[in-house]
Amino acid sequence: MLQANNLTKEYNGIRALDGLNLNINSGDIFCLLGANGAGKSTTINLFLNFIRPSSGQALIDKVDVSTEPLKTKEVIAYIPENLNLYEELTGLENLEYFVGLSKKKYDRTTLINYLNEAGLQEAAHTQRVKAYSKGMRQKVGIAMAIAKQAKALLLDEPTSGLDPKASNEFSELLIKLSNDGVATLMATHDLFRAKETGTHIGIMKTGQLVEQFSTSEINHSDLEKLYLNHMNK
Amino acid sequence: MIKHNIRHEVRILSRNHWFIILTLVLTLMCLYAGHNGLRHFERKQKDQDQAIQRQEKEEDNVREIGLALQRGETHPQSYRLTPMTVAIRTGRLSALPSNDLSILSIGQSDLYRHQTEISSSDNTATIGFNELRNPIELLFGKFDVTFVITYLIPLLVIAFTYNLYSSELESGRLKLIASNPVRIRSLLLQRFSIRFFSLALILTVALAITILVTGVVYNSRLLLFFILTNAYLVFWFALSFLVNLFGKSSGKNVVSLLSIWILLVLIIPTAINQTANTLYPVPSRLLLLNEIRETKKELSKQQDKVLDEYLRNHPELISSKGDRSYEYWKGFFASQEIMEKELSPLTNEFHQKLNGQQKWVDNWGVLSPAILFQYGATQLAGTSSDNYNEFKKATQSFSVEWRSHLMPFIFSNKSLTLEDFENLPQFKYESQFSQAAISLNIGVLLLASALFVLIGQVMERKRSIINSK
Repeated sequence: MLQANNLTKEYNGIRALDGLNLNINSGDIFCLLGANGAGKSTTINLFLNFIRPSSGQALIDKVDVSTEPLKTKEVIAYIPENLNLYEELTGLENLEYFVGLSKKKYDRTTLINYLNEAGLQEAAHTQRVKAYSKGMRQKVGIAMAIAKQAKALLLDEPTSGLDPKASNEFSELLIKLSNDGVATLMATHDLFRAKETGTHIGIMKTGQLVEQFSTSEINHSDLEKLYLNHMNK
Repeated sequence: MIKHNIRHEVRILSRNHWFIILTLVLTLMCLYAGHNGLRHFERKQKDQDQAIQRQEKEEDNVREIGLALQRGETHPQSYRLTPMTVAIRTGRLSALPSNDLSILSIGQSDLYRHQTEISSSDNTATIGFNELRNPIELLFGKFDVTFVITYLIPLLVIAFTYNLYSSELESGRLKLIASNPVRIRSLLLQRFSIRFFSLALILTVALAITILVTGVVYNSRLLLFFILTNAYLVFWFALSFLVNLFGKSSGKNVVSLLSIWILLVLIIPTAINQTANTLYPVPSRLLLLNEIRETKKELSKQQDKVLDEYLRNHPELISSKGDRSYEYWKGFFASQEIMEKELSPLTNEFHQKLNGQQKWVDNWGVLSPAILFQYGATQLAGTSSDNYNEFKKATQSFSVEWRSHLMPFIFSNKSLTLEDFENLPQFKYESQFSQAAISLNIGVLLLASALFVLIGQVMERKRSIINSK
């Protein structure tokens, strides 16, 4: 579903991403680990076509995002670290607006069902977003992905700053979506969450994917050792 | 998609307290400005009505005397039909017809005359319009509806659009929006358009209430006024659209837009005005008045010589009986024309300089949307400098016609009959407005707006949204 072929991005001669090759199938949750500036967010931005690759290709459902960005955006959902919604609108209204941008139209009841599915308490649906916690905002993001019927999910450090309970709830939602066949690429610093949620893990360093493995192949402590080993090299 | 965005924008605006407060303030400002305009209009109208009534009463008196004389009766005031008395005392009134749109746009009407008593006793009609004001200087004048639109509406546009793009960028929401299958430039243009229509609607309602309260009549001029107002509004929205796409942050956007407002609305008009004064300095009015007095004094000393010279130029006025009574009045009227000729180099220079200033302002006014709008609005209201210049020319021309018509009566020592009196020239003036000039101003405003949008569209293609959070 998500495929990177020798994907490279240079900024003023400096390689932020260096020949990334990646293949994420439907139902996979691929967690990208790495220090700041390792190239995790650059990878996500390339898949979203926010930036153009210097060389290589980013494909979503076998379609090149650079050549057909609107088509690829029909099947993806994106949740950033801070989901900044319209503060003066309610969660329901925000959901309606953002889902509407993907040319999908639902009645109020259906939208409420999506918010329920994303785990947002019913009382919060009609509350203005300015009163929401970060966890509640992220749930609206998940509701957007569900309503959009996204085939691929791009997450840029979505659990950063969430308390363990909210982080766990978020992971459960990702797993649920994964079970529904959604391919997920998640950039994160959270090794524990990556191991618990992901099906695959990739470690990035200075723009290169230096290690890639299935989460079933490794336990928590080995993951930490491996990660630190790469970071200290 | 447009319906979706309209709904979204209406939701956002309806929850913005400032938008609601400023909408109310705008309506109140329009009403207050309309009240000011109405007060000024009524005062002006009252003055003119009184002058017309005085003139009609004067003419009716002369008519009654004429009727009595026609019936063969004697009348103690039969002298009222002598040409000198008709020329000097009865005279004529030149009146600039009122246009009720001047309630919305006072323009120069608080400075110039709307009626002038045309009398051959002095040269008020000829030189009495010499206000040396440039229209731009007067922008700071009365608080009327045109003032509200020229100065305050751009500030409202800035207040509600300066961060329309940058706030999305700064908050990181733009990335969330851009992760959907939408073109950001189309979406942004739609949002600007929706805000434009919202403000245009509010302004139209506020103006409609003002018009209803003040009693301005709905006509084609008013329709053009609305079109001009909306073109001016479009200009500021388009400018804000461009600045949004150029600007790197909301703070910088608001500073840029306010600086542009100061430049376009305050600095450029003032600079054009000052340059016009420097390039076309008008001779001192004091000098002109002194010159008139001196010339009058000189001519009265040489009354006989003047009359001789005058009759040399007008042999048709010499009596066939060889009766050349050198009465005071003949000399007086003759000296009027001679004096005008003698003063003509000075008065011509005076008018040339004023025309030069006006042309300069007309040519360079295109640099400021405020001048384009203000000029169009005052043209429609009949209160622009051009309108008063036209009226001045018509009055001056009639003054000459009036004197020329009565001169043969004076030199033939003949009183006017009632028929002669009824056949005296009448002052007729129809206020005109240049639809072509107003359409051109609207065209320039819309063209500039289209250019801003086009440049903005190109800018957006090159702009990355990645610097958002």
